[in-house]
Amino acid sequence: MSANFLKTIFQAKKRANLEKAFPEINLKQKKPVIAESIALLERQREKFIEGLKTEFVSIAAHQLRTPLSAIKWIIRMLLDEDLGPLNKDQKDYLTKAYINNERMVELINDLLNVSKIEEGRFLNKPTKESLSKIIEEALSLWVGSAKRKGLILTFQKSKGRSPAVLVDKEKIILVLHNLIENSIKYSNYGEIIIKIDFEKENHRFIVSVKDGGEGIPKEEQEKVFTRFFRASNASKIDTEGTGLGLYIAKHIIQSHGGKIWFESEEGKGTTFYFTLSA
Amino acid sequence: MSKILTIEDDKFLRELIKRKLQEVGFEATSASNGEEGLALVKEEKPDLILLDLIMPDMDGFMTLKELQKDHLLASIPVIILSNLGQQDDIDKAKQLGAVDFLVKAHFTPNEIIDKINKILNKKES
Repeated sequence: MSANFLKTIFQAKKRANLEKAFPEINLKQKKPVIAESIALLERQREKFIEGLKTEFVSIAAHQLRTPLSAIKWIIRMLLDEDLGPLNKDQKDYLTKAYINNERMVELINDLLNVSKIEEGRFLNKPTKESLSKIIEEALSLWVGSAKRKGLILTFQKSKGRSPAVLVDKEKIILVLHNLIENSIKYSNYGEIIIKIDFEKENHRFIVSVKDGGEGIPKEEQEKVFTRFFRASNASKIDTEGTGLGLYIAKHIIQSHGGKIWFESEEGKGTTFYFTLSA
Repeated sequence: MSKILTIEDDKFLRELIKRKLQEVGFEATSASNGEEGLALVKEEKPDLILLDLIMPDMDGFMTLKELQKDHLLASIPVIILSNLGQQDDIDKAKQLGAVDFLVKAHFTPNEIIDKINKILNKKES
């Protein structure tokens, strides 16, 4: 079969589909403008489907979150003893229920982001921001958890130059959130150091998150940024996660024109780095 | 005592928030959709509104639009409390005058109270 023949069949099929979708237009009668009409209709149809998809994902996330927020609130109120005192066992079990519920919420958020990434809808809205402030904001959410585990969170700001960057702030916070969360999860003692360095020759900042935790086994290191990757030592230290955080982080940094990588030694710790243009 | 109006269609969540608000010393009223909420806003002039977005009949976005139309009501701070959380939804709500946007599944009742207190304190000063 010749390529041209295939092309003709393909176009006829395409036209039939379009006519089905938009019955008010008879494409055959307007031969000279068919190509243009098809292109236009296709764009309209794509836009329409795109809109439906966005709405569907948004509503699905909403529907999944609604029962989880009810569970979260009621367990939180019970744990805060708003409804009367609890004994230790009750508290422990409710804490477990709470953590699992939080995990579901996190999973929904991660899946939502991954679905956007794969459909090319995870777009950045860049504004001029201070990198130090972004890091401070991300860190503030983790001070409590770090303290509870006996870890010290330290932020070493860059010397001199004010670290102004043009970024989607919420997305960079999400990257930091994922990196800091991992470093806390995989560390049982010591210090977690977040640092900004300025690289003059490349006119960029390098942010690093360094921990002295479990480290990533060498044979698993190349899979770290793939979806649903979980280090084999995760179960050993009884930690939970979706395996989507670093995949999302990599996409965000790359979509900002930066790079993300790590250095890790099992038993000694891991340092993640990412770059952002100054 | 500050008066907080919660507009939320889910009965369980509505009563839970109301209970929490009363516990920490607020006067709490509630409505189950936008229309009912708007009537209560006019009648009771709350100091702050917690507003859900997805509701039957009149949703949160429509309610925000209606509030903006009335000079007296437009100055009442509105916190969106919704499980929508896409950037577009957040931007849209803020453009329509919401002062903050909290995703329900991301905040505990105490954290919501903290946000309310911060906004009320800012309003007074």
